[in-house]
Amino acid sequence: MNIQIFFQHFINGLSLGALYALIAVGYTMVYGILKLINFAHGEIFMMGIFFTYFAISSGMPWWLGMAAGIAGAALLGMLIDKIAYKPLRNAPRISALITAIGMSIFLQSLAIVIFGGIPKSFRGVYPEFFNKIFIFGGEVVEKRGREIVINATRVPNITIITFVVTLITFLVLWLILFKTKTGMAMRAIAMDTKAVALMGINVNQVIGLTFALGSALAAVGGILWAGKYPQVWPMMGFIPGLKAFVAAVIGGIGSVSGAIVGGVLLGLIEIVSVGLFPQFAGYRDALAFVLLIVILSFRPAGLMGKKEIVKV
Amino acid sequence: MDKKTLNNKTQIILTVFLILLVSVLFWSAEKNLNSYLVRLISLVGLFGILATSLTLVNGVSGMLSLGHAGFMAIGAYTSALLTMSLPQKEASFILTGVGFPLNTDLLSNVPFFWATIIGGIVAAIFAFIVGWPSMRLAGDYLAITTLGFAEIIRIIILNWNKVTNGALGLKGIPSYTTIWWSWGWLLITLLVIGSFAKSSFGRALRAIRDDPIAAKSMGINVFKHQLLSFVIGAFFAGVAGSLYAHWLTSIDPKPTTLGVMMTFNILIMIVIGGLGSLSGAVIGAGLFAVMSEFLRFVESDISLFGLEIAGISGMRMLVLSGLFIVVMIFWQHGIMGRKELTWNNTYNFLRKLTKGGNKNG
Amino acid sequence: MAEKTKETVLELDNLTMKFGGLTAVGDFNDKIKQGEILGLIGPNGAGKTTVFNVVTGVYKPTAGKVKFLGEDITGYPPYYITHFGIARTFQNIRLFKTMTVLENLQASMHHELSNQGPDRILKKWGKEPKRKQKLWFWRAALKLGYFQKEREQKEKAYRILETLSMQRFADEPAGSLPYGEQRKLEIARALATTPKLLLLDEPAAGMNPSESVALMELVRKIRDEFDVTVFLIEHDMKVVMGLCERIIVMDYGREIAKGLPEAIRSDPKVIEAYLGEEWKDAEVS
Repeated sequence: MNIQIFFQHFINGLSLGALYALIAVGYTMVYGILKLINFAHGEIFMMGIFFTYFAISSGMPWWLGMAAGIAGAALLGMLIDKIAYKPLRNAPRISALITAIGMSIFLQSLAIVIFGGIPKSFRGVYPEFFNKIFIFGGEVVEKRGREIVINATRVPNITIITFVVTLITFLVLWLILFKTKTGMAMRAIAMDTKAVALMGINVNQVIGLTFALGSALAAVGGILWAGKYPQVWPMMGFIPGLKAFVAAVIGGIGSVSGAIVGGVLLGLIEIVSVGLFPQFAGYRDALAFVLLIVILSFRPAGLMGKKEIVKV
Repeated sequence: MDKKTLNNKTQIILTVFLILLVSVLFWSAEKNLNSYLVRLISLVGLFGILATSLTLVNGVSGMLSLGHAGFMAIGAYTSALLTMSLPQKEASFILTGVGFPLNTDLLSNVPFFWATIIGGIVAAIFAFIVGWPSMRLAGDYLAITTLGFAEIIRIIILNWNKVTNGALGLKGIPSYTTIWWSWGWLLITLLVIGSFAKSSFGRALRAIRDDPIAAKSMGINVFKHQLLSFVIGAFFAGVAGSLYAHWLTSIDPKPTTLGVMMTFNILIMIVIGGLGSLSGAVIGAGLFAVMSEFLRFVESDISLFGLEIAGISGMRMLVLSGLFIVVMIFWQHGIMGRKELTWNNTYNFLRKLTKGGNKNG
Repeated sequence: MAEKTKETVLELDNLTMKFGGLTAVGDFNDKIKQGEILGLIGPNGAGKTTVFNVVTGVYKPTAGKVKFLGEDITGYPPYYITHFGIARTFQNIRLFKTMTVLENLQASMHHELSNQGPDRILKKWGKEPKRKQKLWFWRAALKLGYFQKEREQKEKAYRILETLSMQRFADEPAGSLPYGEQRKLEIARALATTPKLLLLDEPAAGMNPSESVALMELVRKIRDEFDVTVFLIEHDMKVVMGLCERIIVMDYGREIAKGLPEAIRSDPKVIEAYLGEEWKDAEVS
């Protein structure tokens, strides 16, 4: 395989990785403060896409539709926490975990009932310039009387937009986490919930905002995802959600930078592997889990995770 | 009021009597009820096996394993590939043809009993391989890892066309599962897992569930015990998978058939029944099957007060999962909590009822 | 008449435990004799519980050796070491909360049914070899000939509960016991493992003066009736001075004083480490 093709895979992998990173950060933030795997996060991702789809289809300008999708997802995240997770704050971890799984299935079923199970096409939802493709390098050859380019690197606009938006989003996230009081509260709760409550901070409110923030990030990821893979259906969030969670664990659950690293790494490995070994393309989803098991075997706390010292 | 204990002999006699009673009921059910209901009763039996085996792993040992459906799938495919006859296999494997050694006579037309056992054993072997690196992981990591393994199994099944026929699945599996097979296996499951759970081994598992560090310090080899419990659970999941395959007569690697949805269904059963109770598991399985069938009506067209309300597919799962969340929030205990339905409990319960009546009367 | 020399139950040989750059325990040495009640005291964070954790196999020491009854047991996992005969209680109560008091004790006897440890050592101490142990596991699970053993274990458990005056709680869930009884259950549970050496981590924590006195009597009673050696960590100076026959004092991971209670009481290094407060209380007793 030549360098052009490898570079193509690299760019694709990086772009997929950015999407995984966006979703993974949401998982890791919720886990950091609640020690809960929010299995429903993948469904929030899916709902964000559906909200955007219906917003734009009903006539809103695309940028407003996207904002509606993100806002809708954020609200949904807060709602889920309030209804299902808050009552179980003091319950054993297994109960909260099982409830999260239940919530995930509930949302999938809800989407099937409301939106129907048949996949809808997302083509044409976004304005045309999203779909333009830039072509780098390569050679122009003649084939059957037409000129086509081979061995080039094709970079769709959506990929460039993905990179730009992801970077901006993470910059905003950094600003929120490190330059605002609420962000500081979020980081503090991740370290010691009880102490923070004693400091007069409304813990439940901050937790709700964390859910909102994580869900918004997932929705951004969803919007970009739909531009890249223009098909929406109710169960579309399950596998990406699972993979994003795997990415968060690989990077070190609870660590935002770990989630970003894990997400990007997973995206790269997934695309490059399939590029190098196209005969195993059907197994690509399994790759994430294989990677998870391998990494957890050597670094039980993830790549950038801290070892939890249990007092005996 | 002091608790009376029935002596062992009485308990055994009561149990035997119960088994005979149930057998008679089943025999008459087979004769008199329509085949739909009969099939439902067999389904409850194999759901009971799934719920009981998951209770051993989740409830008694405290390990949140989300991979049960994966072991079920292994049991289902293994046994189906063994019991199907060569012509049946060739009818299914239209794209790729049957792979070696499944196209041999040795591995076809295997009797149902042995095929089921082999299905369970293969599932147990996989559980050993999967469990070995996973047991050291704490609760949440174990959950995601087992879920991941179940997905890997499903993806392998989806892609290994020569052996599993990939996305097309296996069709025309002989319909061997009857009430007797499924409830017979349920009896075996209850005897084995019940015996383990009541023994010192069961106490060790519960100790590990309550505090693994203390358990280690009291001399319990936590890793080995967890692994063993995981493998036993997987064996019976494989058995149930085999029963399911021969009940459904066609299986495929869709997540709704033998994937995450199935694991979730089993979770519903054990949560409703009571996490940690084996009798609760069976009760939960029964309730789930009944509720699930009963809820079919929300998916079909209904006329309410003269209005025609069109059925919405997927409504059933919505109601079930909604119900599940409600149960988890308000009634985490489930029906049995951690207690078991024993002859002693029932006897004392009845005594309390009658005593209470006498007191006031 | 010559006094029989007591055998050394536990020998700690230049024990060192480092966590990254922090030396939690440095060059800890001691020989504990059969039947002793040895106290380990020191300010918070001195490394006392770490010593316990190393002895019981929870941590593997960075350097040094732990020898039990003449055998080097350094680095063996906790469940081996319990089977060998060293049991411990925890500073923060770690009972099996959903199980009854009796079941807590029975669970601690489970190790008698499963194989733990190299055959060579097991044979030396007259314990059953691995192969025979393995058989017990299956017999227990399948209920063959198991009832006798189960009955024996139950009787032993009741005897322990009676010694600690806890038999009335036998069928209560451990989590529902009052605090003082929970602390006693910690000790009962450790006793159920049939130890030769009992490590008690702050057994008097949270107890009022009359409870502490009862505890001291209890520990002596246990030492005499169950023929165990006791190694305990404690902050309550009345208990330490009244109960311990010998005391080791730690600070910053190292031993700063060792000897009989009277000597320790007036040792200036010890007084300095504790800054006098608790010391004054102890002198009154």
